[in-house]
Amino acid sequence: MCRDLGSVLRILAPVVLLLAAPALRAGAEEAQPLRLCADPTNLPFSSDNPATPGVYLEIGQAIGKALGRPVSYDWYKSYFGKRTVRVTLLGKQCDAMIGLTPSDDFMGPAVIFSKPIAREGYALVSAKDRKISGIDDLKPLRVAVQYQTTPQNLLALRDDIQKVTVLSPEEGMQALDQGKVDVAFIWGPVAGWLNKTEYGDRYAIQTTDGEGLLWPVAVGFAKGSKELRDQVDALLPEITVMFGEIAAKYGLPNDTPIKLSAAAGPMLRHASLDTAARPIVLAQAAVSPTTTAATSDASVASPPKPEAVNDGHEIFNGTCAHCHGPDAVQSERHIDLRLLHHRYGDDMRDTFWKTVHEGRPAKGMPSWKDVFDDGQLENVYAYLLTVQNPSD
Amino acid sequence: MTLRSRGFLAGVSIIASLVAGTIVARAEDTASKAADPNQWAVAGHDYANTRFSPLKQINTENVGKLSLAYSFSLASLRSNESSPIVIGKTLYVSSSWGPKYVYALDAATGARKWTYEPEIPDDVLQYACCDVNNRGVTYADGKLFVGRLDGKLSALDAETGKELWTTKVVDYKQGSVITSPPVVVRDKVITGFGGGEYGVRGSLQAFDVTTGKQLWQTFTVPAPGEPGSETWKGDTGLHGGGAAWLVGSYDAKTDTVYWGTSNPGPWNTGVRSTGDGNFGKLTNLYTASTLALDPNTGKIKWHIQGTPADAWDYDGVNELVLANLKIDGKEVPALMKADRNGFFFVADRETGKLLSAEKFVPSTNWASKWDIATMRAVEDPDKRPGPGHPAKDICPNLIGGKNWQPMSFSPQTGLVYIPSNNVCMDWSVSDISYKRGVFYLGAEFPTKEGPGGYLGELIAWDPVKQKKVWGMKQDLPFNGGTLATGGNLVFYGNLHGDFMALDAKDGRVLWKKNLGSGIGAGPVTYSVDGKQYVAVVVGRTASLPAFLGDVGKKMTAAAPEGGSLFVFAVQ
Repeated sequence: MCRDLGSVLRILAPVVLLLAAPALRAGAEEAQPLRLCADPTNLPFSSDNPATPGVYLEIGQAIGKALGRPVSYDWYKSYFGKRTVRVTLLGKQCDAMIGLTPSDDFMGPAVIFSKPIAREGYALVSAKDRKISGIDDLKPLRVAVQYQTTPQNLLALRDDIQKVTVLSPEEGMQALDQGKVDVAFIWGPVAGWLNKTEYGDRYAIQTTDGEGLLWPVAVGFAKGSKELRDQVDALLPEITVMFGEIAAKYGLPNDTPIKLSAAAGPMLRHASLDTAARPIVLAQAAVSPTTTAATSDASVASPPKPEAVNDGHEIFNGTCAHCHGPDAVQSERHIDLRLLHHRYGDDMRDTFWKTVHEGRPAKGMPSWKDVFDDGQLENVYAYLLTVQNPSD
Repeated sequence: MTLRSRGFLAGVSIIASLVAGTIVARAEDTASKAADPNQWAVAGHDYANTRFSPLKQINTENVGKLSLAYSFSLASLRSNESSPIVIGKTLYVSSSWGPKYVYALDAATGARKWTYEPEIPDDVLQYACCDVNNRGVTYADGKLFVGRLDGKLSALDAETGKELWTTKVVDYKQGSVITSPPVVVRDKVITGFGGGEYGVRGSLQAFDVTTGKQLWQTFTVPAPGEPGSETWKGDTGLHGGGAAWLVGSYDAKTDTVYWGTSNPGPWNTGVRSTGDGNFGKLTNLYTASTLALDPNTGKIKWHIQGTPADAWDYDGVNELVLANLKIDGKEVPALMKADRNGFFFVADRETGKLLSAEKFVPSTNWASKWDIATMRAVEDPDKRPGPGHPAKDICPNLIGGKNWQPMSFSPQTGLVYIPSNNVCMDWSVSDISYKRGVFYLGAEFPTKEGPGGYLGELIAWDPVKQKKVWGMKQDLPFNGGTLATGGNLVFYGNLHGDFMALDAKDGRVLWKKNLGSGIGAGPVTYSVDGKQYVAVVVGRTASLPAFLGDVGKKMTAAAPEGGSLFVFAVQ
């Protein structure tokens, strides 16, 4: 199973050559180092040990090479969550951070993302001879679930499955190895890394798909770095191929996710994972084409579908609320969107589209057409219709 | 150190040991009986947590002439929540960040006697859910006891500040930090710790005051198979929270300590209960509860669960104030709690019988009432979030109708002075775990302003009639604790840094001074050489507003961070 380093390099070599091509386009002034923000102790993702830099750093090094820029690092623990991003990426200590989930409500418009380069998810880890193709296969088994995670939430609905709560993937793998559980339902990439480095690849790892189970991974940038983002996006086909190769080296699962869902309907109302998620299969994706079509002719007379309003509401509170207030509640009249109808009357719809597409740069309103697709913006409009000031 | 100061310290030591005698005697005396009225002996003034001092040299007549006696920099910014204590002529005060420092000062002049600086690891911030606070130290028997953010408990020589022992209470890397002063009963120093959000199993622990050796540990959540474990689904109680992170109380008459416990974990009620209001026996004991324990053994005598199968992060940790109340013509040994869930609980502290529970925050809407006959809240099912059931406009929000900031009880007016909050929220269940490599934290809990155009209110509450007597509304939540005095005054500070004295009877503001940073701590008062002083620590929280969206922005905009002790007197 263990791929030796030589063969990895042989596989990588042509990819790196491919990636090197755009560097020729880049001017000489681009020799500035590409500064990556990274966690120094977060294998398999990143590490300050040059012998095992981790998947993200190897990807970052390849991107740097392709762009003709040397790579430097700004180390900061990712455990701090959004604060990590605020201090490092938004604090201009680095140019890019690999491994962010592209989502509108992650940190509002301050952070922009590449297209997803991979996806990571929770996985079912078990002995290799055990076949698990759905939740029902877990029925007679003892299953380790990570505390406060989607797997725990999902299996909570199934009293017929015996759960053993663990606090970390490490604890889940230990429980499996000590025979305390039959299956560990834990964070897949870490399970893969542990399986490879500590458990001699003894276990089979089945990645899962479904709401809150599978997450797109992208490269994050501060909003001023659109150009760099576009350069990275241009390298995307090569990066995704390369991700698979590097990931295998670190034991990350590279299987086809199986779709799991709760018995009855969506159990979690989730922050939508909809940005640029084209290559990603997401169960119960928030925006469905039918919803979009139905709401295109939304007017006050025919109220928009609740799903569209909900989705628009979520996007609004995740992104627009930053300036326009949560739930559009805003005391500054000039940015109070509850007054749109009062102010623009029949032109409300046209004004909305013009403003969200083109922005009003002089007044601080960005253009959103590259961030959200029209279906999503339509849903935002559907939501705004529901909060218009009724006095007019 | 010069000879002169050594001599000075020797003098202090004699006073300290004399005082120690009174304290030990007092710990065995009824907690409601004040010992030396000149002192402020523990964080809550007394182990009844009344925060009432009989001192009345400063009173409604002369409080307008209050002026600064001294101020002292704590040399540590943000989230300074310490209640100083005063033993003899020495004032002990701790700072935030660990604490970074504990100081002993001349209580009359502010001259520093010693500084204690524990070795606190740099990474504690990430494990402290709700900021790097420390709420003060506890004195007993010539020693000071300091609970630390790194999960340790230290004993110091009160005379010199020298560390006598340090013992590990809990692994802070599990997200368990100690932020509040312990309770000392005879030879035992008793402490809890925080971390209800991180999958810990809460416990209270007692240590030998002389050696720091652990004497008992009582889990606040039963393990599978133990009595009470039937209130949890599967093994979830083992990570069920119930952390006792705030201050305890002690009643010498029945030799009982009281502690409140935090919310259960995880936040998704479907994991540990039924996920809806029909939770039956799955109430998640003993989380969000009041516990009465035997200090000798740690055995739980009885419990009252204020929020069964909590779904809102309504910790039950708020301090228990012990006082005798005249209810229906009878004097009742009462225990009072202004719960985060918006209800004010009055119980018989000797029997554990709940006597009344009424809303002290009028916007409270998760339950229409709290039924003391069934010992259940009458919930509004729309306001209980669960799997597949997000809920909107729930009041109070997760900071609660009252948070940690201490209330006070004046036996003169019979009123409780409650720093309350009027904030609401939406809530949807989601995966908020830290996922290595993507660390996306999922949905949050959008904060909404409570109705009525105010976000906080200082409420003077009649605990017998269970109704408000007067109130002073605030434009922000999370304001400071209160102090009630024999001079018929209530002292109170807010997040703008306005420190004020009010008439305890009607709430008229009689004196006010801005102290430059937000106030969360409760003020204290004491007397040295015949002169009364009022002291308060300022330095607003920084982490908490981050949970509160736009309301949080207003909170941080109200005043800069800070860290100082201010002491006032009528000159």
